[in-house]
Amino acid sequence: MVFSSMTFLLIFFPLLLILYFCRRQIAWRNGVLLAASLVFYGWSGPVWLLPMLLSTLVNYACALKIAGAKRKRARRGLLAAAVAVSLGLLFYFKYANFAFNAVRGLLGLGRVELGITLPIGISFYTFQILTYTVDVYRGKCKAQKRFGRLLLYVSCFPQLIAGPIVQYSDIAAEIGRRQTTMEDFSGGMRRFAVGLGKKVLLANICGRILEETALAGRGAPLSFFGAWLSAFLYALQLYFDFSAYSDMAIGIGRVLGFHYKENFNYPYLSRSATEFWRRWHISLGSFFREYVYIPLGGNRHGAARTALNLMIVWALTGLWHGASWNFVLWGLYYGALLLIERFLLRRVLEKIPGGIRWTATFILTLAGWVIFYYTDLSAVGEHLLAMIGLARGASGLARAAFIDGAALSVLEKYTVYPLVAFVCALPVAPWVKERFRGKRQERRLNIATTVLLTLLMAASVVFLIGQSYNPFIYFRF
Amino acid sequence: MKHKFSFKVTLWWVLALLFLGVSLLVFGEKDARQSLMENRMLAGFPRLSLRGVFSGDFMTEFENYLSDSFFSRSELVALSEDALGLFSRRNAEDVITQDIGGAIEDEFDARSEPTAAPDEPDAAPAAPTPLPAPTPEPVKREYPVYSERVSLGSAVNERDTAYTPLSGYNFWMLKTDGTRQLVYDYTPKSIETLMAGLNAFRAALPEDGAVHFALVPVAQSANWWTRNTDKFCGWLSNAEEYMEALADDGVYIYNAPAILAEGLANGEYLYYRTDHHWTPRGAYKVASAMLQRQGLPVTSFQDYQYKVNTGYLGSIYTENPSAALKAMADDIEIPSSLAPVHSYVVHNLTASREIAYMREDWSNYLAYLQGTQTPWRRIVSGASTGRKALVIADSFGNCFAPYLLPYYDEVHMVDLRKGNFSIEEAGGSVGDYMSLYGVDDVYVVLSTASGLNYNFTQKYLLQYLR
Repeated sequence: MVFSSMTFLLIFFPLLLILYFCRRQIAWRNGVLLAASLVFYGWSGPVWLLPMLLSTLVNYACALKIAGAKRKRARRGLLAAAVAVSLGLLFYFKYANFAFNAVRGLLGLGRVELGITLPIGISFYTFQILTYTVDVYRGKCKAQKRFGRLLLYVSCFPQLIAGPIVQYSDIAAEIGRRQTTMEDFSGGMRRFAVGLGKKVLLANICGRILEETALAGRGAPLSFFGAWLSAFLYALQLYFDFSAYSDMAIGIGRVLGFHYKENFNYPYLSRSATEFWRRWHISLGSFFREYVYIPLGGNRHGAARTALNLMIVWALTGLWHGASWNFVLWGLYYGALLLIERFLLRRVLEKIPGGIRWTATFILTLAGWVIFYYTDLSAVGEHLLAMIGLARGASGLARAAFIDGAALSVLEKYTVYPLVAFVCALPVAPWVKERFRGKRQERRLNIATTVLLTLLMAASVVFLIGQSYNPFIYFRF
Repeated sequence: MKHKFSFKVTLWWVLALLFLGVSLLVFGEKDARQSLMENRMLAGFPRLSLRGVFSGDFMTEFENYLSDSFFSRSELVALSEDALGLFSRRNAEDVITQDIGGAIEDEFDARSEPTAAPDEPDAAPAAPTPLPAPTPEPVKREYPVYSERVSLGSAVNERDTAYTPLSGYNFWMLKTDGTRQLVYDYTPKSIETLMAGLNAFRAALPEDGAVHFALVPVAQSANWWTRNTDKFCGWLSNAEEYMEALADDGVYIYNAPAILAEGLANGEYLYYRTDHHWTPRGAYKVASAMLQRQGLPVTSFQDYQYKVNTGYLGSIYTENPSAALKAMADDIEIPSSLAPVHSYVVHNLTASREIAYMREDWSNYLAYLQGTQTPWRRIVSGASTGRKALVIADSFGNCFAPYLLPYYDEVHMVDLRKGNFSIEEAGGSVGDYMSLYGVDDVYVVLSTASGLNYNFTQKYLLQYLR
């Protein structure tokens, strides 16, 4: 099930809230939420609950044993077992086909599809459950004795299938005790409305426009302008799609009494790649920093080791997004950018005017999204070449056309829509809020915001009617 | 106070959403039906089964159902498109002449899609002239493969020339300067596959039976010409020549572009402005040509009484809504029958349910025969000729079939587009159905949007015959 579906909006969510709030006891609320989460996840096929249950069960048992074990070696062995099962499941479902064909490729054999279906959200819940077991091992949190509560943490539907990656230690207390204030309820619902609007009115429409542009590998050659336009549209689609899911997850979580950390902070304002990754998918960055980079040694063993650690982390970050070489390349691309910024440009960057840094960062981000978009690396090359005004012809490189028919058609049909969408990716709301100070002003703003969000909610439902199945892009990760 | 107000409002959101959801489940339309605006079947309430639940199919279908059964769905979809249309700078002329309707039919495959091509020299001027005989050998060409909507008249780029053939089986626009512009490019193989299907149908008919075939351009192509008469003076298709060469006895090919050309040149209302379909006047012209070829006396167009409903805004408008296009709203002319008619939807070969023959109260294309009905439709005409016909068509057939009624006791219809026909629902193959009802003649009438390289003629025509 997806948040932006009629089933969720009109049936699942309202019914859940009625059932959830009809009794105050935490056991009741946890029970309702757990049952709802399992229905939510199993909606597209109950069989996919099995890997999640298995992973949770193994981690539950291992964490309990780790907490009880006194010898370090035993604790380490149990942790290794839990990690091996969790990552083993992830590897099987997500990477087996990729690895199998990579080996076949090395042996000069043709591609064979293994036909393994990827359970949605497996990357997210695997990382979540690992934060629990590792934190128990580190003594950062206590082992959860009630399996139901641990299963609730893993399967809790708001953040289950597309993040944010919630670390166990962040919500351990709320699983056992939480309440929803009036402010939590209205604030959560309003955040949900913002997310729904982002998804339906911005991400989906940017995606629709993107589909109308010429893209590499579709027959028609890319023009210079068309290449930039499509990269820009994809950047917007990806941001709105993913941040919308995070907004909705955080909003629903708040309605239910959970307080998740922010996952995005206006990433397209960034003036360096380093800053971009402090603002984009924050929970993934935190996970890799705390559970991979620091255990690898972080920056404590000299520049060369730091560089190596960074490249390992970024290759894994890329691979986490998908079992395809373009994701690995995308991760390494960011690894390289971060290394350059860290070791070569640190002092230079400080002297460059902010506007130039922003422009350069945005261009590099768009180039990164091109790598991210195409699983076919030759299409990546074709698109990047078009972005510098070149096209691959029969007799080598030639000059790409400035603009193509599809791009012209998009400009005629949607005119300023992409720019309006871009403005929505900027911190407009905080800027407006800043200008309404004082009790009276704030009250006015609150009324205006509530009315506006009611209209946004209605508009989202209306637009949703005409849109067919519209899953979130980050589902596939 | 601040939070109380927000709390109350957001609580109302939840209650309103639940009210909507429950209302949809209780009062929502449960049967599948056609959406003219989106040119597809809207989902009905799915059948609950354990298998469906475990495979996840039930949930997917349920989601489709909730969305498709939404109250005032068409109006709300139009509203959202109107809102998006506010950004558009395209004028009405751009819209009705540039977007080919292919994308709104199902399975808009890549192979014979419209191609913006360089002009070809030495083309026929206003009147169609014979072209060099096409070579029947398959020509190896590289075709673009993309499925999204394409625009005619978009900038021609270098790569187009690589896959644009300078000879073969094509549909062109004739230009006033004596050149011609390629619109559709058909491969010999696609024509051969089509003809294999038509010949197989002929073989399944009685000895005196016949198969009649016409491939009809969509409205955007007609508008492209008739609204740019300073640049274009006609259109031309030579694919029919190769079809005729491959046709068995009793298989008749009609060149619809040639049949419609004169009327279009004279400004007759043969196509809609805001919709990709032809009008009954266009359909009548092609039907008349088919009847005349059989030596039948053709009832004049005016002999049918017409109920005219105004204000029709069709698929072209829906895709690109604008005030200017709204001002060009079309008229729906609904022909009456010359004798009392009974129309049925048939399932499982024989299980039938009577429906209205026409919807005279509707002012959209669904008014004709009440839209495409699946899997079979049977119309008992009230005539007594001792013959029965089967019309195999996409939605263009709904305007066409009424003009066959005076000549057949029964006219049956089937639409083989994906999603409109399944053997399970139909209860048997088209061949089974033809034998059961004693069909004498078959009419295959397709728009270029469901053209030669789509599953319809390349796969299903033969597959569903047997």
